[in-house]
Amino acid sequence: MILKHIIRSVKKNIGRTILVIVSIMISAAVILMNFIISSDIIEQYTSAQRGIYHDFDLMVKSDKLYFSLKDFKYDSSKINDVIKIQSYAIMDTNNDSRIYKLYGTDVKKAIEAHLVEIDSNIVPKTGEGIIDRETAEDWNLSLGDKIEYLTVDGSKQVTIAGIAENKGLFAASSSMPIIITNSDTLVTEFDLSEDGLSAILLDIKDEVHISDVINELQEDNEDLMVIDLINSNELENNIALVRMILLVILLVVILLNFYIISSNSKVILESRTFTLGTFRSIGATQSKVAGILMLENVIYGICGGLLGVVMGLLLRVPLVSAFTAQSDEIGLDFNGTTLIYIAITVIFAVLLQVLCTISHIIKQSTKSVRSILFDKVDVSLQHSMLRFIIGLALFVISIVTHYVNYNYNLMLSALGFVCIIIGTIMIIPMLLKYLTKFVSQVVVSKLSYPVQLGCKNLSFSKAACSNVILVTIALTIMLSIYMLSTSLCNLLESAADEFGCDIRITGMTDYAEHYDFLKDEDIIDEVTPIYYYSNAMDFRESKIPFVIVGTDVETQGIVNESGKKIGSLEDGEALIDSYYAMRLGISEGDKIELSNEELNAGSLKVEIVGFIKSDKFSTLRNVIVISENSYLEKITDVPAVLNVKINGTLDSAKVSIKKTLAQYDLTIQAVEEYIEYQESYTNSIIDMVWLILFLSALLSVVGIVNNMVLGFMQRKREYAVLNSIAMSKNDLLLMIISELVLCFLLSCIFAVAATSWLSVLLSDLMYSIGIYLSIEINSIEMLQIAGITFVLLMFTSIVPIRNLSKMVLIDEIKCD
Amino acid sequence: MQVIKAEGLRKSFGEGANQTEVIKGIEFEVEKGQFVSIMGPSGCGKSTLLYLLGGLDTPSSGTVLIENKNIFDMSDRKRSKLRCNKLGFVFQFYNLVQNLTVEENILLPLKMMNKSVKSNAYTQKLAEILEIVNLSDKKKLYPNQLSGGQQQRVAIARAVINEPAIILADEPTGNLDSENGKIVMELFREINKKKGITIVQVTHDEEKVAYGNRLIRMLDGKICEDTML
Repeated sequence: MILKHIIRSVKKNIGRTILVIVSIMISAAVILMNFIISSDIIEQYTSAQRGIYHDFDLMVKSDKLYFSLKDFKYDSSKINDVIKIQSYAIMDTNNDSRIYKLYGTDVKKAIEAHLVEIDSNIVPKTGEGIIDRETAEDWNLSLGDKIEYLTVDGSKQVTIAGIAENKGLFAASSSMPIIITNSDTLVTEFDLSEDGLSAILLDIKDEVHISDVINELQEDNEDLMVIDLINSNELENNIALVRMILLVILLVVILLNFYIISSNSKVILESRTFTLGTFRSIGATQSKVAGILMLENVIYGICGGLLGVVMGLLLRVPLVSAFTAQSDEIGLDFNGTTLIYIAITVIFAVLLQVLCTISHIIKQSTKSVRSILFDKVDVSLQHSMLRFIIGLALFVISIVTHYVNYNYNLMLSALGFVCIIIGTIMIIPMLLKYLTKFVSQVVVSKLSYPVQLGCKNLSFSKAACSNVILVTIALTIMLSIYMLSTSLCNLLESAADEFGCDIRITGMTDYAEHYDFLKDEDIIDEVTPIYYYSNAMDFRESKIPFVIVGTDVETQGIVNESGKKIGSLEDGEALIDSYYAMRLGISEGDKIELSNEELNAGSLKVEIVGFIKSDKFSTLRNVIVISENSYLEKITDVPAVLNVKINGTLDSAKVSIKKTLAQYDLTIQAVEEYIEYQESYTNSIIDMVWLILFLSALLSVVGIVNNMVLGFMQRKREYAVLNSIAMSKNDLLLMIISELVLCFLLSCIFAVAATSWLSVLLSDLMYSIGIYLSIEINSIEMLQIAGITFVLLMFTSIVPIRNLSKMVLIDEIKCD
Repeated sequence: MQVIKAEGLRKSFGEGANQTEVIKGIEFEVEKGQFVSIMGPSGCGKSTLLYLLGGLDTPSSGTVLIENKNIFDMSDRKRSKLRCNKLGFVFQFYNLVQNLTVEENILLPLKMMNKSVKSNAYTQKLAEILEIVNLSDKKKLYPNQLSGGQQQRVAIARAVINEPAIILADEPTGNLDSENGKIVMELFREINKKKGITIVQVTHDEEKVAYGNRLIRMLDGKICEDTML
């Protein structure tokens, strides 16, 4: 019986019910993403690494080109399997832009271990090799093709004997395409010793702790590097940022949807007043009525929650793809933990719905039977001074939190952000009252009476006020996010100027002088090593991400701010980014210690002697600068980047450098490519943010149309009266259009005004989650977007125009 | 002088087999200054006839002439202008515009005619009408702050502010208690007598007929009695 009643109610308010459920759905989807995305990213990273190396857990390399197996000491009882790899770079003599890396290994074993995905019968003989499908397609190579190359003994060739999937070892190489052949080929063709290895892959026994093996290997083989191929712990530290971004999205989405859910649920409840009154009149108690309403909203919550779960799961892959910048096929697990998260999401969705409606439910269920049955629903807007004062107070709180929150406390930043949104919602009705009075009495006083009346009506209509609030909030958030994304893009563009070079070389394993031969190239003007080390460090009993930079000059956008200058630092002294110092509570004169096993000295003990600004180097601004000598001694003598200035064209320089560095597994990237990559990574995240916000904005538009329909229904009588005594339908149309023009115009003006302040608070919020990004307000763009929004919103006027044409005058004026 | 003339007026609702004719070829005339009461049982078509006379509804066939002009030949804009200039409406449920004050509701027809309501003439006129309807002290209030009787008096003031030729009233006292009903009817009589405005009212109440000077009885969409009182 109760369910029947609920279904009838849903049918009666189908539009609004869908709107409420979709709002909950979006909120629930974002909640679910908050729960699962970080573990999904780790899982994706792990599975991507597993997809390359399968059972192999560790890679051993040397900072020299080759090392001998004899020099490698390991406990064979802890190891299942070993694969040895020799490598040599070759250049196609028929096309000198094609450089391959020739991998010599036990191909049969590699195929069995799934490091090469190909039919196991294809085992290349000496002089034969396997390439991957992508390279074959890109460079139009097929089975039997021969690739000619030069060795010290003259011209040689390798024949393509197989084409493998782009998986395993093929997927591991990013710098250049590889040809996998047997070790004999390399030994005979290049005179390499059988023992001259480039890398060793180790499959550790399941019962052994990988970290223990790493420690043992590092102790026994000081000259070799042991790389954990599936190290997700390090990734965990970086994921904190992703979590924070999702948390901010959740805050924004819930703020936006809370109003939509709350206002629509209120109307749904009000539309059923008479039915509830009838229930009460035949004996239903207040608690029974409250119970029915609560049950109904719980059902909405469950429906929205479940749909949100579906949406969240559908968005899971693109979101993980955006955050991991991987476009490959992503397969994610659905395990017990996911089920728990799904259950929590649905509960959260129900709680959200109940929270949005509880006050309306209590109000409805505690009304007297007489009031429910006979009192009319008041559709006119009440201007509460108390509400306005509370709104102003919230504005003041947001200003105060901005100025007192000098260390960017997340809670204070979020409080300021929430206060400005709620404050705006609360002051709008009173602002509307006075602004519409001003407009109708001053601005349009010389225009026709329908225009004046339309402007005046705005301050009386609940539906119109609701529209103003919806548009203002949605547009404010949209504009702020737009300003944020353009600021981020501008920052990346301006960062390009700070590199001071044309090409970046990364992935070095040796000290800078080792690569001095690059300077002999005619096309290269200058090679500058840049020293920095980026990782999570043990600091004050926590793992904190730091970038330690070793430099004696202002570089890469790192500039002096106060205290000692870069270049005058003694051993044991450091400069730290002022913003990061503030976040970590570090002052000038403090002595700090950063520890990490990878550092040469194991730890870095320094005294802070001044501050730098590094916003153009890193949006996290987690930079600490020491002298170059200290860096080489205590951190590592391997540069992070070699900045190369060239004097020719970029393409020819890249080819030349690739040839020169062919034997090294290095990444050679033009600065523009690097910036483009950074931009595309940032954009993919921003696109996801936009997608979620777009859905919320879409809901706002649906909400506006719904408000218009409802507003028209509520005011049909008024229109009919005006039509019967004085106005033609054209006059009515003019009145309604004037009302809408003013409604949307004021909304856009409010939004533009609110954006200016909200952007400041959004900056605070971003700083608080560790992203240093000053949001630049571009007034022209902001006005353009507001203008376009206004024009688009005016299209919704089709709703009242259509309804007006269908209005039956007599029906409206005859009935009470 | 004839101010209203209905010729062969018919009105049907519904379509096909469900079509019901509620006005069945009505013909009558109303002279200037008459106070006509239309009576009849529920559903006989008296309100529909009133709305047809005011051009609020369109007939299935027939014509209505107001001061010799067929209102159904006019465009919506012209008909609205005519309603604004020549007709005043009073409804059973007052039908005031809720977001306008008493004063603004009364001045609404004038504003629609682009009259300068702040001029001395109209200020005086408003004061005079407020005095007549006894609402001088309530002019700044909104309709929801008034009683039913007071709201109906505002509706009457609105109907007479631009001195129309005709007032069409649909059960003007139907929603009022007897005392307020009496006040409203006295007002109508005063307006009719002092200003010479023609009044056509629809009523159920025999007592209210006595305020007028002509009675038209209707039955099943036809005039069954037309008596001068």
